[in-house]
Amino acid sequence: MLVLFLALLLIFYFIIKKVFPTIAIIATIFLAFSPFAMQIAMHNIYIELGLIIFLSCLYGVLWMPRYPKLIFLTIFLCILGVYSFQELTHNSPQNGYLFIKELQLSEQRISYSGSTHFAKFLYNPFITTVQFYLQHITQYFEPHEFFFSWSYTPQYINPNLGLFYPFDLIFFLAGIVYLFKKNRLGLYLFILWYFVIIFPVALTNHQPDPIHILPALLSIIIVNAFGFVYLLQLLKKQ
Amino acid sequence: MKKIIIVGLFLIILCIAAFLRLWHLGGVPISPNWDEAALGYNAYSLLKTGKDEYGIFLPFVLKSFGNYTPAVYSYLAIPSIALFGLSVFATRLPSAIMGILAVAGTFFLTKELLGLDGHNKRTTLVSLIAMFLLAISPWHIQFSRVAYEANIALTFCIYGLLFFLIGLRKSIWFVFSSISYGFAINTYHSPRLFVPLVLIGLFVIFKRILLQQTKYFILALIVGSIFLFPFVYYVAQGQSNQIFGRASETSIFTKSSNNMFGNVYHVFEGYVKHFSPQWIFISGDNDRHHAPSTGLLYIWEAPFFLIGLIQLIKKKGTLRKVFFLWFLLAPIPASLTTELPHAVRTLIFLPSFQIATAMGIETAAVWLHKRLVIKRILIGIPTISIMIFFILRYFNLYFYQMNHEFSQVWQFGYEHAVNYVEQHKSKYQQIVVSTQLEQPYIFYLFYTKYDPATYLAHGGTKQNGIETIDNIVFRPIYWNKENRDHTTLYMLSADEAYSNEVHLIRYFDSQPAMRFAE
Repeated sequence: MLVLFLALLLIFYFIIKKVFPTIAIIATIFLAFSPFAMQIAMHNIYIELGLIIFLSCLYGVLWMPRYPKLIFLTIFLCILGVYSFQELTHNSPQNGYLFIKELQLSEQRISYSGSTHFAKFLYNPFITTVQFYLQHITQYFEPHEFFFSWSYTPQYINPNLGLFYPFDLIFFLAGIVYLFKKNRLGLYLFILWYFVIIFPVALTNHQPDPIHILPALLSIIIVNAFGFVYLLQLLKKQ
Repeated sequence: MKKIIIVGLFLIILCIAAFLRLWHLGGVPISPNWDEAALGYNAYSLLKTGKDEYGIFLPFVLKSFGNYTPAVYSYLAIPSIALFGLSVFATRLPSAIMGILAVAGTFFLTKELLGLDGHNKRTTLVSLIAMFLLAISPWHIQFSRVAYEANIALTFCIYGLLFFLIGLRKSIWFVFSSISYGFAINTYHSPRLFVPLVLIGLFVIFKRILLQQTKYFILALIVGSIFLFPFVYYVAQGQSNQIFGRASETSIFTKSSNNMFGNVYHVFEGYVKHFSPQWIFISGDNDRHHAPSTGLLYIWEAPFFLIGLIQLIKKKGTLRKVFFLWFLLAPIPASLTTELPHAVRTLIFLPSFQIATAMGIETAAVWLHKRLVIKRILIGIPTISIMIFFILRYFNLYFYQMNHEFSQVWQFGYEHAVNYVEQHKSKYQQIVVSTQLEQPYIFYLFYTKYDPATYLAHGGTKQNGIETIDNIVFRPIYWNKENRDHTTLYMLSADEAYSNEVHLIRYFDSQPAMRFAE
C-alpha cells in the first residue's frame, strides 16, 4: 500500500514537473499530506491502483508529441483506467442514474395544482431533472465540505476532517487569484478538468464520494500549490 | 435614459415589490409561528396597556419566551394593529412595508455605490436591475412576509449606508445615517456586531473626507450614541442578559470548549459555511426560511452573480472596497452562532447579492449587444425564458405549494384549535393544554385577542410557572395520572399518549397536528 502511494506521488510529481515545473515539489508535498489522499491510501489499494493508471495515461499523453508511438500504450492504459474506475466507483446501473424521488415530488405538485397545463409546464419531469442535476453538481462546490468536514460519505473520510485542511482554502483562493491574473489558460484548464469529472458523477443518485472524483481533487491540489507559491512571492515582495 | 422612463420603471418595480409582499399576506405563510404571535400580541398589549405580556411598561426588550427579543418590531406593529385589529395580516404588515422600503432603498443605494467610481450612462439601469432583483428575491420575499425583526434591521442597514454615502456630499446626512444604524442595532441581534464593523470599515475608507467634516461627524456620533442607551441601561441595572441573553444562548462559545484555537476554528468554519452555493442557490436551510425546492436566490442568478463579482474584483476604486466591506462582513455575526448556515442571521447580506448580479447582467448584456443579431436572439431569448420560467415556478411554489408542503413547519392548526377550545370551554370544568405543544398560551392570547388588561390583572405571563387563562391550564400532561372523568378536555400534541379522542386537527399533508381527548 505504501509502495503504491509512493508510486502515485512519484508519477504525480513527474506530470506536474512536465506541465508546471515551478510548483511540482510543492504540489507533491500537498498531495502527500492531504487528508483525502492519506485516508483513501489507507482505505483501499485498488483505488490507488486506479489513480496510478489514470495518471500514467495522462503522463503518456504528455510525452506523445515527442514519442508518437506512446499512443498505443496510452490507449491501453486509458481502457484499463476506465475499466478500473468503473469497478472502483461501483457505478453499476442498479445504483441508479435517475432522480426518481424528486420526480415523484414533481408529480405530487402537478396533482395538487389540479393537473393544469400550467402546473405540468412548471413541474415537467425534464426541468425537474435538470434542476436536481444542478443540485447534485453544487454538492461538489461546497467549501465547508471540502475544507472542514466531509459529511457525505463518512466511511472513507473522518467527518471531523475535510478532504483538505482548512488552511488549504486560503491557498486555493490565492491560487484562483493567481491563475486569473497570470495564467488564464491554466485556470480554464483547471475548470475544464474539474467539470469533466463532476458532470458524469453528478448524474448518479449517490452521495458525493471523494473516490468518484479523485482526479478532480488532484486539480485542486495543483491550484493550492499555485496559491502557496503566489503567497510566498507576495510575502517576499513585502 | 429619460427621467420619465426611470421614474416609470421605478414605480412599476415598486408596485411589483408591494404586490409580492402584500398579496394574501395573512394567508401565506399559512399561519404565524410562535415568534410572530408573540410579537403581535405584545404589540396589542402595548397598544392597550403600554405594557408587554409580563407587565413591563414600555420595554426596550421583550422577554417573550426567554429569548429577549428587541421590542422595536412590536412598537412598529402598533399602528397596523390599531388600524386593522390584532390579526396575522396586521402583525406582518410592518415587515412587508419595510421590505418595500428596502426595495426602494436598494435603487438609491446602488446608484450611490456605483457613483463612488464616477457615474456612467448605465448606472441608473444597473440600479433598476438591482432593485428589481430584490423585489423578486426569494430570500427577501420570504422574510418580508413574516414578522421577523431581521427584515426591519436590514432596511435600516440599507438606509444607514445610503445616508452615509449621501453624507459624503452633504454632511448633514451623516446624522440620518447614525439614526438609521441606531435603529438597526436596536432591532435585531446581527447588526449589533455588523454595524460597528461596517462603520469602522467606512471610517478607514473615507477617513480623509470624514475628518474634513468634523462638525457633522461628531454630531452623528452624539446622535448615534443616544441609541446605545438601552444597552447602557440594562448593563447598569445588572440585567445584561436582556441584551446579550439571546446571543449567549445561540453562541458557539457557550457550547464549545474554552480552547482559543478551537473557537477560532469554529468561527472560521461557520463563516465559510455561508458561501455554500447549495445553500444560496438550491436548497436554503431551515424549511421556515425558504419556499419548497427553492434556495435563497434563483439558480439563474448564479452565473450573473459570478460575472458581477469578477467585475467588482477587477475594479480598483472605492466601490470595490465598500461592496466587499458589506459582503464579507455580513456573515460574521452569524459565524459566532450555532445551526449554520442561517438565512435570518445573514439577511444583512442583502442587497449585495443583487447589486453584484445586476452588474453581471449588465456586463452580459453589453457583451451580447456587440454580437450579431442572430446570436443575440439565440442567446438572449432562451436566457430570458429561463429567468421567467424560474420566477413563475418560484411564485407557484411560494404562494401555492408552500402552505400545502410546509404547514407543519409554520405551526399550522392553532387557529382551529383555539376556535375549538372557545366553542367547547363552557362544557368542561377545565381545559388542560399540553406544554409539549409549542408555546400554546401565546396562540390562545393571539387568536382570542384576549384583553391584555385582564390578562395582566391576573399576573400576565408567569416566569417559568404554570399559565392559567380562565379555565384553561397550560401544563405538562401525564396521561396515566390524569383524572379523565369527562369534566376536563385535554389538548395534546400528536406524539403524546391519549385515549377517548374527541377531535383531531391535521396538517395539510394529512399528518396529525394536535388532538383533543377527554
